[in-house]
Amino acid sequence: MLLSIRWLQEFIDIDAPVHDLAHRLTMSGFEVECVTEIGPQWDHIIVAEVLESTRHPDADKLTVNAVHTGSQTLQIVCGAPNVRAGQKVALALPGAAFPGGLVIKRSKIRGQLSEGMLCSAAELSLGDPDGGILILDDSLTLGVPLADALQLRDTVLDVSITPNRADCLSVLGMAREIAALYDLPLKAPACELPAGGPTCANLIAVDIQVPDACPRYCAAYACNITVGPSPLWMRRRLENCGIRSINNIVDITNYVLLEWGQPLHAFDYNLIDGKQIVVRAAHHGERFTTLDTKEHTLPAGALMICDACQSRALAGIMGGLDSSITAGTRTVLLESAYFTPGSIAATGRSLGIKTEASQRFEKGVDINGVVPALKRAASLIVELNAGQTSVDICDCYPAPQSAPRPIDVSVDTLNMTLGLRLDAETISTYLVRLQMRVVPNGSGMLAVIPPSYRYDIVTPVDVIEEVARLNGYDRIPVTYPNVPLCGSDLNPACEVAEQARRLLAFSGFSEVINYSFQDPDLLSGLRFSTDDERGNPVRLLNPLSASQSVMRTSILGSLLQNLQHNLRSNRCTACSLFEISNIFLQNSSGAITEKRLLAGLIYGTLNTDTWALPSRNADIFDIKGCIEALLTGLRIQPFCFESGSLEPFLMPQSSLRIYVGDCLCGNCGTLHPDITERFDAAGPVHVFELDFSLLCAYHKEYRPHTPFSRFPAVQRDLALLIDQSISAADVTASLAAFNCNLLRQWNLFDFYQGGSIPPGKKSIAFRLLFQSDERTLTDAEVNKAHDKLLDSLRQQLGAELR
Amino acid sequence: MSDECASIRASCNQELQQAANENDLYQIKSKYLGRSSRLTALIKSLKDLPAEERARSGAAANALKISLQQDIDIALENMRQARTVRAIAEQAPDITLPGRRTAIGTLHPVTRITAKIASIFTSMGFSIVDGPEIELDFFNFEALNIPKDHPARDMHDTFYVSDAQLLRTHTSPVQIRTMQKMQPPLRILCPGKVYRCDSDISHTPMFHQIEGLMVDTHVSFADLKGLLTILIHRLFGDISIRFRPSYFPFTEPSAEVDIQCVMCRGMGCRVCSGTGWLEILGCGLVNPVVFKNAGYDPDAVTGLAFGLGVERIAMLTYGINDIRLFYENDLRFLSQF
Repeated sequence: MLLSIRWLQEFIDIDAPVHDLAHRLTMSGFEVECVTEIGPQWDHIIVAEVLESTRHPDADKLTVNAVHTGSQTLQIVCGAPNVRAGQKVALALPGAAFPGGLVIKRSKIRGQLSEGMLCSAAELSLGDPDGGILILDDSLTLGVPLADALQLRDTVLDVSITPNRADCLSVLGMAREIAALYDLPLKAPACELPAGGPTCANLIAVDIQVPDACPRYCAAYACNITVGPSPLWMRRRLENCGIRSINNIVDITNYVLLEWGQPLHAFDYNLIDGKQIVVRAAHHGERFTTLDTKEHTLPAGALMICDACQSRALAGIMGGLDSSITAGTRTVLLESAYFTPGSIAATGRSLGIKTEASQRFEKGVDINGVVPALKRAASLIVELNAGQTSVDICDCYPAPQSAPRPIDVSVDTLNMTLGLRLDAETISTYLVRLQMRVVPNGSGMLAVIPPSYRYDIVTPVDVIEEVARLNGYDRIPVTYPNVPLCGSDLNPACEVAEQARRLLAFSGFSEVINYSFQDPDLLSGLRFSTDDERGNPVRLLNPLSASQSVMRTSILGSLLQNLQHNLRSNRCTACSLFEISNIFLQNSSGAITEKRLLAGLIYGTLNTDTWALPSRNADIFDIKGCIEALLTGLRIQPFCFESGSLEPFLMPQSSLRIYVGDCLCGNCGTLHPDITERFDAAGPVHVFELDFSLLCAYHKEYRPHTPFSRFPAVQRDLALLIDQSISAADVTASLAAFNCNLLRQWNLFDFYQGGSIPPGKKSIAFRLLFQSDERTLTDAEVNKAHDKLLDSLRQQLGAELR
Repeated sequence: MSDECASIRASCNQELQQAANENDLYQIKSKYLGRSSRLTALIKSLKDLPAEERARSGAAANALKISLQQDIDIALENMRQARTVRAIAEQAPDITLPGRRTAIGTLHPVTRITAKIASIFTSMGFSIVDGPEIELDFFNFEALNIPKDHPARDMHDTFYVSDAQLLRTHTSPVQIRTMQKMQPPLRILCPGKVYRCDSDISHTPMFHQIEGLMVDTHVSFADLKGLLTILIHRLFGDISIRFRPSYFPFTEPSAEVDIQCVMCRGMGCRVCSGTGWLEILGCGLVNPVVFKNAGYDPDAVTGLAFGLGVERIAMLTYGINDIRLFYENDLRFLSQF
């Protein structure tokens, strides 16, 4: 909210420096986001008098003027038609700067020296363009800066008001708060209805049909209205607070809105049929045109202000086009009402309208402020000579609010909650400064009654917060919770994530984090079939854009986007990425589940930036190796790979299913080239996606130690020739099944095909370790086991010794 | 006799000085100490001398033999050492070449900061808990004292999935879920993704929060100040902190916490909009209404809660000026952490 200091000073005599005020407000819960000085924009502009005005010798439409500043006479060339000798004018001296970049300097205009500029109201941002210069009041003193002469100077604070403090969305509200902060008296603003006008009784009848939504409706009548511009001071105040000046009547309603926080509305009384206001709920499908000329279809229950025949205003939000104030308006009906927050909020949200009025009603206005605000507006009509008002108002308040119940606050509880040691008297002082009534009951309890505008104060803790605020949070000591020592519960998911991240980073993968929502095209690009849950993602009802409209069912699309970004903007030649995030699945009945995945991607040429290792293209064995290392590093056992993944985005002959225990934990492999092509990848992209919860389930914090044999192990290399159709896994399976407890370990250390290897065959070599727990093995024993193994491989796989 | 000894000695010394390599030395050794050497001949000739002179000359010849042997061995050893030194020098690698290693990756800055904050709180007995990202309106709003049409809902631009389901706008719903499952006292920390429909230079529609909740019998606002002071000092060192009143429907009293601007040390700069202070988290004492909604007896327990934005802390820690960098996932950014 924009708060004018000059306006504030009408309510409170505060002479504290602005920076002090801003600091105290910030430290009491009203964050001052910005302090703006009004006035410097009129620097170098002064009050001056035209002594003599003659035609420019070389230009028909220009005049050459002798202008007196009080201390000297300057020559000014002017193009305005209304310059006359004897007028007081606003003179911009060299150095004056105008919005749009114009800076005044001495110059020659068609051969005549001009030492400044006579300003129009529009150039000064003090009015609309009217084709002439601004003529000032004769009483102004020459040479005085214009900002001082017209009292334009002000300071405006931009104050952030929290949603619970709607009572401070006004000059009065802020004045009350500042009065409490500085312990100053509040000046009561004058708002008496002038005498001599008509009475409302026969002029206005109010019928509230929905008292739940509109518990109070007040109206006043004004006649002999002359609609015209407001005085400068009022226009300036409205504009400084961000409201455009319209005309005197509308400006008065806005002025009172800013001053009292009570939204008002002015109707052209002549257009109110039957001299009657009816407050009712909108009919189903009712249409209404607001004064911004937009037509709306109203939601059921929207609160309407009507006359005897038709709807005239969308209550609390915006008036109607037909009954608004025009230049021809002669009589006015002023509305000041209390509409319940929920009703206004629901209608405003449904129609997507937010106005100064609706924002205040939504948060709640003071039901007891309705009448004084209306009287203030009426008195301003008279003060501004805009017309005459009724001597009374019409106040329809069928069920007046009962007096608020006192809130019982315990002094002990207050001190315990805050960590303070305040006595009842100090607490009462703070609360009284906030206009609360406090009755001590002598036994450490205070009965507190907040003022009607503080409907946010309901419970004892609300009162405690007020005491803390006025006392100052910075005067609450710093202590440490005095609680029993306890260890935190272990969180295996955090533990596994932490370890997995470090293992992957050491394997060359960089961690990314992507938005959980993405482009549906990105998902369809992964070719999920119609009966796959992942092809039917959760949709956002209100996405920011189509490219962020569905919740991810796979992380791979995001990783591909990251690859594309780095290929394009970063021209990288290799990229290894991983992410641990939730995906969102929706079954056919709409139930949503979240599943955490660990996904990764490898692309490009590895080791290009080191002299010490041969560079090579990443392939599926990089992905497979990194998963092997990851699962081993996480001490997950058992795990295995099965050839051929069913994932639609992977190439079947270059992909694997990954099993942890008996569960399918994920897939890895090479993406279909058709998919990767769309992401600017020149070569194959290898990916994996693992079910993170399974990693957690099978993760072991430690594995028990197994005793090892102290007897020497005998190493034998076994090079085999086998058919192409036999896989390495077939051979290792045979080794694993070999029934001899002397064979302890085998590592596939060489693989070769082509060259000297006969067509249709491949060479595969294992380093075998034979060992016994009981004795040193003899050559004969090892040879026997080795020959037996070779025999069984010959029989099972047709393997030959190479 | 002694002349012959002196002559051998001189001749050998001269040759030792001229020896170019170990081979030369071996030849010298055989020439002066071998079977056909002058010294051997001299020793052989001793037997012909009278006994008295034989003893004296024998001792002199023996001394010469030992001395020659020593000199030649020393020369050989020197030569051998020189050869080793040369060989080492010739084979020495350029050890200024970079080491042999494969590229390593990096962790996302959000992960790093989250882990750091988690470790600070787990060391104080807080447990890490988790909650769903697609949340029910009840947990995200209503149970936290934000009923429908509450003006505080304006502070949360919410993505909806259905009427009752939304992307959580903060990690606070985990407070309720945890209290429904666990009995007091408790100390929990919940890091996670949150979502708001807001996207500009200082907002991304997804970001990360860390929620903390402590429930016990006597937790005061002064304790809240203490706990968060520990956090901030661990994160940013010994800098000034201020607590100022604010409003969250689920805490009361509520506060926002500012730290002295880490860029300008409180002098006022662009980052802190000239105020010298940076807002870094929201906190407060748990509103009794929230205890009631979660099934706790508001008269029997008190609690404190706080929530902070991880990106905000990361930006201040690393000097990152654009929040969107976190989600662009450019390796030039990621490789720095």
